[in-house]
Amino acid sequence: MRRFVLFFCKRLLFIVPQLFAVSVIVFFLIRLLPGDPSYMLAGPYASPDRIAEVRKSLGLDEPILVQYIHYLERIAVGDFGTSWRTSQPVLTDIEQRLPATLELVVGAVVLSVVIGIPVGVAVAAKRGGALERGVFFYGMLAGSLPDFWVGLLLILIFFFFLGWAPAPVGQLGFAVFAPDRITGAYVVDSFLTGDWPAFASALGHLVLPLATLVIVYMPLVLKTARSAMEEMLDSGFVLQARANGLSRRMQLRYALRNALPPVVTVIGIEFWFLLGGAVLVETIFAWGGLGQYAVESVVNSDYAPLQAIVLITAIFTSLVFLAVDILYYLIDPRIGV
Amino acid sequence: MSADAPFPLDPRDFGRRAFLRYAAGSAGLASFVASANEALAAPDGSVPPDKSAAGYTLTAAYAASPPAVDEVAFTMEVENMMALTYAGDLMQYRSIPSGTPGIFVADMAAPGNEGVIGRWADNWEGTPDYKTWTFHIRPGIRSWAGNEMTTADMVWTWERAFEMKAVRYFFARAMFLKKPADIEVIDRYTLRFHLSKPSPVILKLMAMSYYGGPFDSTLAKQHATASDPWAKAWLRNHDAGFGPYHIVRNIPGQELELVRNEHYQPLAPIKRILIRIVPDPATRTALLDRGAVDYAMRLPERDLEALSKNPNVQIVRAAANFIPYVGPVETNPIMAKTAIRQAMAYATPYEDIHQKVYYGHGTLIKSITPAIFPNYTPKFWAYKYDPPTAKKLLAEAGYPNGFDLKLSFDNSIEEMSEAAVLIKAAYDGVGIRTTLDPLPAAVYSERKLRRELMCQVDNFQWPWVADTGYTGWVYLGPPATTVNNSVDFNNPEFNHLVTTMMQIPPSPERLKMDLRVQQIAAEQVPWIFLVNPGWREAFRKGWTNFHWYPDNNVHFEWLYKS
Amino acid sequence: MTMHRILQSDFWRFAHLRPAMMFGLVVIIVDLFLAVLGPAIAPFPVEAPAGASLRPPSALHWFGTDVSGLDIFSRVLAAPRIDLTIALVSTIIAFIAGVALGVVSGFFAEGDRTGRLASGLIMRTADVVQAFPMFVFALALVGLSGPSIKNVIIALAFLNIPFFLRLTRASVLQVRSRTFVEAALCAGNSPIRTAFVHVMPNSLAPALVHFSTTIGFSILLTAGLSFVGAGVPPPTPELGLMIRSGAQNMMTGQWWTALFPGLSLALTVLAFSLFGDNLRVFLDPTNRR
Repeated sequence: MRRFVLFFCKRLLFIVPQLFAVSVIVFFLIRLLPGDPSYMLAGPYASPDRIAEVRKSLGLDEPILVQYIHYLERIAVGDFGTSWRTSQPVLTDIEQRLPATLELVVGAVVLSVVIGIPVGVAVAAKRGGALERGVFFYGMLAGSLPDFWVGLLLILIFFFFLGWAPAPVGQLGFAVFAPDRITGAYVVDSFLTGDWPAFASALGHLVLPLATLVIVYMPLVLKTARSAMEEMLDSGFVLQARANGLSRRMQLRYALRNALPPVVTVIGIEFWFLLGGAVLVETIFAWGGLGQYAVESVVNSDYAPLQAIVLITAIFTSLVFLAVDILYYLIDPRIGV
Repeated sequence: MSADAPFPLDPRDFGRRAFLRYAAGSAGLASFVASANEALAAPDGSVPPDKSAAGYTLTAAYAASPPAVDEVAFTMEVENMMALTYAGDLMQYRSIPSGTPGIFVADMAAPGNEGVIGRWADNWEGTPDYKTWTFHIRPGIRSWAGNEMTTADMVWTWERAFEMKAVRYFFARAMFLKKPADIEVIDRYTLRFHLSKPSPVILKLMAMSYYGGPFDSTLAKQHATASDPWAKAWLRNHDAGFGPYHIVRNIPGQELELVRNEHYQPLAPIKRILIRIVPDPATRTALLDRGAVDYAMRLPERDLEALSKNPNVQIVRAAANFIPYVGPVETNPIMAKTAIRQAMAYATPYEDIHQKVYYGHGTLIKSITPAIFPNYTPKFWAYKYDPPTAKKLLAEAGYPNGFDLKLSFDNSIEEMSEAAVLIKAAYDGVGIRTTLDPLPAAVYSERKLRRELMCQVDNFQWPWVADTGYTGWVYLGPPATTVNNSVDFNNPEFNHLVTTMMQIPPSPERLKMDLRVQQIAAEQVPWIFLVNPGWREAFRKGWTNFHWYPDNNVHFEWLYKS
Repeated sequence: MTMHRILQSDFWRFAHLRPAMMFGLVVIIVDLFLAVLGPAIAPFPVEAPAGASLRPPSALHWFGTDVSGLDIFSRVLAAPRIDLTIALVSTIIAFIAGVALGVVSGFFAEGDRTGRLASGLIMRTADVVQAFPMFVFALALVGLSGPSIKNVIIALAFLNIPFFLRLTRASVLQVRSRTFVEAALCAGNSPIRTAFVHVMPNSLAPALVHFSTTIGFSILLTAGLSFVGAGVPPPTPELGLMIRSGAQNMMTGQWWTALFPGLSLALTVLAFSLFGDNLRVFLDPTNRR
């Protein structure tokens, strides 16, 4: 227990300066790029002195280090600025959109684990056969497929030709109202409040984008589970177990326990990939999540949201990696501090 | 110059000239007779009382949310929302039949101020020197909150404009209104503007529906604070308008809902408007195609072509005031040479663009003054696609081997992208080595206004005020004071003419100036005019009574189902 | 190298028995060929309209035409030049910088004070850079500085450095403890010289393997960036751009506009990953089964 606490504290100590450095990079990166948001905020027909006024109110005429200090001060109280596109505080925008992205990302990770690990284990346990060939081809192919292209194909086939899936217009059908907000994720909220029309609509709209992400990113987990299992099943201690007469099931259990660490790591990596992949998928399906928000911010030179999103995703990723490290340690304490 | 009812129109009044100008797509005697019958049925496009009671719901797919509902932002969606919630200022253009049944248009071509009638004003008068204007607000106009429109609202709105220094302020200066104190309040409903110079176009300026307000000041002040006395924060996202609709829900990037203002006269047949934001034009098209929505905004011509084959969809068209152009920016020394611009004008593939980008719809533009405006003449525009002449002019200008050109445009507008590709191919053919520079909307806007581009292909101009002097002044006037002169055109004679035209009353002399302005714009070619696609909107069949207004928005308050 | 020598080499003996690797190799060679000759052998001009818009695949236009009338087959042939240039240049830059930093970081990880400090600093910086989800970061970098080939190369190079850094460092840490390194130091070589002349060549294997997969991944990333409009400017023949303009048309039934570029993209990336995967197996005998 003491070792764990030590390990945890040491990792935490690493995180803090890391996040700090992230904020520095984010700030300077965005500030130093060309483009001037005061034009957008001042509006059309604004006279040059009006634009100068706006620039002053944004603090853009101060020396850059001073601007950074003010930036940190504002972040500390949760003020990430205002988006000129929505006229809302960026934090509000993010609150509205984050659950939608999490629905996709968490859903994709959960499905990848629920499908990927059992299939990977099954293929490792039983070599040869149709399943292995199928998984082999699928694994090879999926890592090379562009996720946005897969999404488009799915829309083409299931919406246009077959008419099974609803139109890619976002999380809900057209005249369906959003359910009362508990978490902000429509599928969850409509289920919790018993709003069945919204539930059906939200679920229907979730299928294609989720399928796109799972098809493209599940192979990460699948391949890692499979190769880790294979390695374990070939290892000495499993051979020993077999020689001792333990059942196949027990052998698998032991092997699995030891194969977990790389799988846990790759789940963390999958999160990392998904945060990027979700951007493209959200754009295609008009999902209204953070990814789409990020793209729109870039395209519209909306600096405040972009800064906030890059900062938040970086923090999120750091935390995910921290969690993965901790899980890894819990599973296999041999891993050094 | 007074009116007893909002729309006094005798069908015998509209001239054939106006009629022919607007015949979009329909020609021949049969349709003339048919539309004459239609005209007799509903000559002014007003709303039949039984339809008002209908209370329809309309569903629409928009490309984006309006960044704000106040004049601090400028996108088509902002204009659209402001037109719906504020409806415009004291005056409006009157509606006349377009020649196509079910479609009415603003009377832009009427000479002088004949095409302008009161919107909120039921009585107005200007002194012969065009410097003093008195307006009487019709009693009984109420906002969605129930407050009546009085001069107090007008004054508060103008004072706010001078504080915000945004669009309304710009137009205050255009009409030579120097300060809010120059607005004299006569009584509860009457106010008088004292202008510092004569303004021949003030009524047309007031017919715009885009510069924020008039605000229900009672309502707005309830949301003002000590640090924000003009309710800037609240009015960014909420409307305090007297217009036909009111925003009840606005989730940026997702959806918008409007309900009708029950106090607005005449009561709008559509009671509820549900708008879903669908950024991808192809998806918007698909939604309309499958009947999932009644209206899809901002569809490129290619999608409209596909939709026109669907018997359940109608493409509403009317001639409009768009001026897409190729604009050499004269801060660049090569672009500043008139001979070079003329050479480019001979190298531009007009017909190709007309056929491939717009599928033959719309018309080629031949003057800075839109064809539907008074005194339009195409006779000065000599250019057509003629590569040998282009090469000759290039050589004469000192560039026999051509030069390098960077062509910038807003990459979110389909048709500009497609036109740019065609223009590049044509220019490459005469030695103008072109690189395309597609920019995100906001970046493009910013660089354009700062005159940092070399040459731009632009789509976003449509002059509201049916007057050559205004059009020339607002887009090509003296660069130092003309924010929208993004090509830095600076011709002394032109500057003098348009500035003068903005401040002298109508006269034969002004008419001569009008023609001369068009001539200079054609000969000096600051803008290489492309194709005016006309107003086109895609709707489910069944909706009728469309009204085109120079803001190019759909005005939902007129629509009903036939 | 004559054909005979190639066919006798270890590499060939390993490769020709593995269909996946052969497939990858063939596609890569075709791609390189197209990168050099693609625009020259294309039947139609690549950036100018070649026919009516949106024509389905036919004898004249094998892959059909897109919305501006550009011939898709010609553009698919010309695309490898752009995609491979971006991928190769950015990966080479990332490789050189990443390996150099990895060698320094690994070699001086256990040494004197300044060495450890430098090493630690490099690692921490790499951590920070890797905290950013790659796509979002690339989007921010390119999107705001403007779509252009140069900006994409810079962004991708920057983002790939940490991977090469880590791989090299791990390898260097292993190699460093071998006796010949100690011998080199004793012989009078300065630490820097030892690091780069003696240790580095023996630690390159993992980075080299990663090179191939990185190229594939870079092509994918470029396509993704162009798809959202923050990559290369039109009408550059780039696969992501083609899919972008084609996506619009897929919705109205012209499936060929996005399908063929997408297939080409998938095939290319697949080839590079297969090749890279098998290369790893080849270079690490303990992995062979």
